Amino acid sequence: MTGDYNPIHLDEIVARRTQAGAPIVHGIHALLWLLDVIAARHPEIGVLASLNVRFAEMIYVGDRAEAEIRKLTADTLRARVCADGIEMIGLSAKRGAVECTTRRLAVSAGLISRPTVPRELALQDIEGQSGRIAFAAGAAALEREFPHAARLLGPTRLAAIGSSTALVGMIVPGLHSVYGGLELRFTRDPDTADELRFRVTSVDRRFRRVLLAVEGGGLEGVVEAYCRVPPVAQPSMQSIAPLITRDEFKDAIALVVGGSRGLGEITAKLIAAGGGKAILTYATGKADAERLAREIRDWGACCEVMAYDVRQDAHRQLQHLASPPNHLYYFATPLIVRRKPDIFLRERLDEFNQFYLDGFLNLIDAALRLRPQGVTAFYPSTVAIDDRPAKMTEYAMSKAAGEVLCADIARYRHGVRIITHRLPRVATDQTASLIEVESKDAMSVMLPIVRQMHHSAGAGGEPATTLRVG
Amino acid sequence: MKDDEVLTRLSSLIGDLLELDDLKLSMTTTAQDVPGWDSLAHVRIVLAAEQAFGTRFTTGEIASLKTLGDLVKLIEAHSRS
Repeated sequence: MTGDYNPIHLDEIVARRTQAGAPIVHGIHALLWLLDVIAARHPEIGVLASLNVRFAEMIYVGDRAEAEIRKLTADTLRARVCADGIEMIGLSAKRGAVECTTRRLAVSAGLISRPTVPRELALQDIEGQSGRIAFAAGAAALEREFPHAARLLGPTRLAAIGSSTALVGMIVPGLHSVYGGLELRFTRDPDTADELRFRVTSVDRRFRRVLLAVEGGGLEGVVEAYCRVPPVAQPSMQSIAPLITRDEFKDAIALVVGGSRGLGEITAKLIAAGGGKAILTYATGKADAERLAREIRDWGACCEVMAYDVRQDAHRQLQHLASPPNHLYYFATPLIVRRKPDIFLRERLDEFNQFYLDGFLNLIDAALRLRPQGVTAFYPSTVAIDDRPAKMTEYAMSKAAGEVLCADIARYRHGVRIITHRLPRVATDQTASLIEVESKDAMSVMLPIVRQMHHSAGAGGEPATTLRVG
Repeated sequence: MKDDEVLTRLSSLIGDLLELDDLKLSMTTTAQDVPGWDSLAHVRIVLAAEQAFGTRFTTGEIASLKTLGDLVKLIEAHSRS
């Protein structure tokens, strides 16, 4: 209906590699729904002169959203969309007469044909962008979908607002965009062309924030958008290989749980580059895992891929492995940073525990059944236990419990050596944020650990229990 | 500029941005203490503070902000330079 086919809304695999972690609802869709609810409940509202909207949080596909009118007076409307008791969208509007437009936005002359895939623009390429985009072919469907909002704003303004999400999600900033908000004044626009004119008026590189002046279809104003930091690309096999001694890890048969991206990806590459065999697992990222395996094999190293879900029976999933692993790297995790209405949610802790405690112990026991002489495992803990970032209470709690579990596994399970590290913030999909935050690169973090794993596995005498550095 | 004066102006600015009445903020207030002070709000608050006090912060200075007091001190430091 709007022409915004940005994959963050539609593609689970792509969305997984963004800050959202899963597909999100178009903010504009939720906004139009809110306006429709307001207009349906209060048909007496009449005319809106202006609209100020803030997209505070991402609404996930499947969330239960609630529309709430917070204030309605003769001249002011305030409303919001909430989910889990948290404000997702904040709206304030002025009621009153619509005035004639006072300006004509200067833009480059051409009508931008609607891309079928979002444009991928670097921040430096966004400055100076301008143009015109036609309303989506399906704009009439907006009127049918949101009839009360269409009556409140007029179908043309509805289409213009709808087009703004295509502008942000497909054109500028495009692929790596986040729609932050909009400030609109409704006008009596003498130009009846069904198009939205836009011009980038500001790019703040500190925040990757983009402001676009927009005009058309009976509105004018400013759209606020952000250009997300793109998904982190890990170093290639070609760049990793020179850092590894030939056959440095040749004795390793390493099961890398969560090996399709991030720390798992770099670990699999390191082991493979050092002559070891990497068995990388995925739960949902099959395409990423297979792409990684192809890269490793094309380089000439050994790699297998298998589906593995830490929430399912470990032995059943691993029993057919041709070569029982002697090294285990455990990077399985649910989405770590998510909104929540309170400082502690039991169900959030339970989910983390399922991954970080039950899943890890099950894996250890299954690996020992396959290789009774013993295994060496890496369990990534986190500096969040000490630093306590916001919204990460349950994550820190579960990882702290994991450290205790690791110590007792090594104490009571014969032949198991476990290495834990409180890892710093590492640049991966899980730590991706709206703006760049200082992070360590995965390579500098994992290379010493992989070497430590290898040396620990080869050490004689009393098995090491839990070695912790950092 | 004194702490109190800057803090009062910031409190008013933040209250307007977050649409919160009777906001009581202190030098030790953090974003987590204030309803609606999320990452997007943080950007808007910093930008509004820059405009209100006629200054511009570096990326490093922004990243170092942990409390409202840090922002107050930063504004005062900029006003002296």
